[in-house]
Amino acid sequence: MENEYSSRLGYRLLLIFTCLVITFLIAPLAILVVQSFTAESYLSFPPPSYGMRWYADVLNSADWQDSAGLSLLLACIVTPCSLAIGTMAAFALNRGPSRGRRAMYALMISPMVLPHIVLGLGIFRIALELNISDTMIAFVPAHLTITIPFVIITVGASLQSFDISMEEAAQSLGASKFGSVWYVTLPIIRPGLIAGAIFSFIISFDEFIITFFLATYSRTLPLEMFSTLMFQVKPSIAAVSSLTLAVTAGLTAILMFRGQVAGESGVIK
Amino acid sequence: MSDVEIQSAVKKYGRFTAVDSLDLTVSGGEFVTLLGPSGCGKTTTLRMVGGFVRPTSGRIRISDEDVTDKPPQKRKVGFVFQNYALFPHMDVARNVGFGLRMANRERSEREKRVAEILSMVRLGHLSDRMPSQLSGGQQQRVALARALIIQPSVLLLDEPFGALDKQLRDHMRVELRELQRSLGISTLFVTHDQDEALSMSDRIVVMSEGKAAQLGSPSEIYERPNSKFVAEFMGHSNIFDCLVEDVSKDGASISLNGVGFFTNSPSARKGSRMTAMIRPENIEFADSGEKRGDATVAATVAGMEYLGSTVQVTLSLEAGISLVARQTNTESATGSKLRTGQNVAVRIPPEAVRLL
Ligand SMILES: Nc1ncnc2c1ncn2[C@@H]1O[C@H](COP(=O)(O)OP(=O)(O)OP(=O)(O)O)[C@@H](O)[C@H]1O
Ligand SMILES: [Mg+2]
Repeated sequence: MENEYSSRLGYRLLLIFTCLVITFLIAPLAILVVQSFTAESYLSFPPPSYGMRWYADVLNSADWQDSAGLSLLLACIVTPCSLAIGTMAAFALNRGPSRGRRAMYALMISPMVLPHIVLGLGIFRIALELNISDTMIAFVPAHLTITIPFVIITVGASLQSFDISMEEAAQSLGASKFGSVWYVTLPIIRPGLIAGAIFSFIISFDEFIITFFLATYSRTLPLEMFSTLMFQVKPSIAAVSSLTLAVTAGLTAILMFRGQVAGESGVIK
Repeated sequence: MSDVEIQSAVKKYGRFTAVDSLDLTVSGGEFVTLLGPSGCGKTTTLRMVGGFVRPTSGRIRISDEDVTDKPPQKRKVGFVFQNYALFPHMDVARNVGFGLRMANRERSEREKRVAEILSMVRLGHLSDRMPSQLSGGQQQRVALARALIIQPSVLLLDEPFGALDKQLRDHMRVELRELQRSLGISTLFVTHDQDEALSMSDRIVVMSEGKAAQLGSPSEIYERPNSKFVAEFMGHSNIFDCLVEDVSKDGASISLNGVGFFTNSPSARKGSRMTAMIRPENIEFADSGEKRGDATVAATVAGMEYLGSTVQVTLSLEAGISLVARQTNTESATGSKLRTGQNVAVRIPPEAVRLL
């Protein structure tokens, strides 16, 4: 925002820099999306002619359907589990004994910063031992390790600003401990819960590295994209990427929009 | 039959004692105030009664039942929090009806009772507003209605007027007291404001460092503080160390740095050093024509402070004693017409001097 003290030159430089960053971030995606509408059988930019043929191709392909189905199913299982476990962890970190709280917090969100290759390798070893690799029983917990930290952060932030006396008020009015959380706390921290759920969904849906270690025959959408790319570069990959992008961007938009709406109505302070 | 009984309650946080063997009984629709400086343990005491803090030792009884080990939801107490703690995602009616919903009352009964209690606090027209759309005083009344709807055996209020401006605070004082009286509900009220405590309470507990320093009616606490701490906390400005020189059957003569006063305070012991308190409103100004008798002392007006209905006069006596006198600001009052630097004779009646 411009104010009396910001020099006009500085402001312009900032504007130019911002545009550059945005271009840098958006351009590759934009090119990909444009390419996906090609009517030719090869990728080129700009495409000589436009059409929906690769979208039709992708939507009618059994391989793409199966892998997208698996990814969706996985994300749909991971999201509620992640939300439940992450929320409980956030409560524990918020309400538990203060000694060692920071260390515990750091430990629990560490999967966000640990190299996913290392995580994947570790999980793969365990899955092999337990003889569960290439099954949902391995995929779901594997995804949870990287989605739960996001729930801990979003729900934890909401809990931080939550005034615990509201829970006490509910209890003095006859609500059980659980009732006070259910009727009062959870509705109030809902923006944090929604954010955590959307993060979990997107991350699970997009996850590649760890799933790559665990999968033998199963194909999630990112795995299918990867193996298609290894084999040949066809415009169908651009169409799939664009579709994935649309889903992710759509959910992110909900996230941003909800955050704003909730903020305005004063539910989160 | 008592509504609340606190029996030698102690609360320790580590090695720090927040509440130290406190005893208190509230019953029969009484309005009792816990008064004391910040950190003296008022909130901790109230929260022990509410069930949010477990006493380290001692018992809490509500309606003659030992509730020490019971959680808040089993205690039937109406708790009004300092920040009201209204549920921001529920409208006024749902906030107020929450307690009935938790008790699984029928919807029709809930609606009826909510409407009744809202009209009692004069908020019937705002039942579908959200808390964020209410003024401070309205939020306060919602919090009160919400606490009262469960028909608690005792109402607990923790500095409920802290967030209101002065005028609204004075108004809410009267309103709360009227409501409390009409419902006949025993009330434990926390404040650090002496005026609030004096104007509202049947009894006041002055707390200091977790202990009850004095327990009594507002007039007892104000007029006969039992310690220097209570006197100072109640806003008395003339407190001195003195020596009791002589005790007779009508009273005692004391000396403040060599200046003699006479008191009829019964607690005087000859030869002992005690604390004397002289109430500012009892100091009289002798008319200039009047002879300086035994009971008058010479003083110089060191300062005048105009307070509207009263005038506060700072007097400088011999031996470096400084005394504050308060005079009603009327045409006839001598004190209100003084000027700084003027020499005056003041009369300090024996009953104005109290030994602590
Ligand atoms: N959870 C806690 N852990 C440690 N010490 C505490 C805790 N709660 C309160 N105390 C301490 O106990 C003492 C009494 O606190 P309390 O809140 O009862 O004071 P208060 O009389 O209500 O003061 P105020 O007028 O400032 O609200 C304070 O010194 C406070 O620091
Ligand atoms: Mg307090």
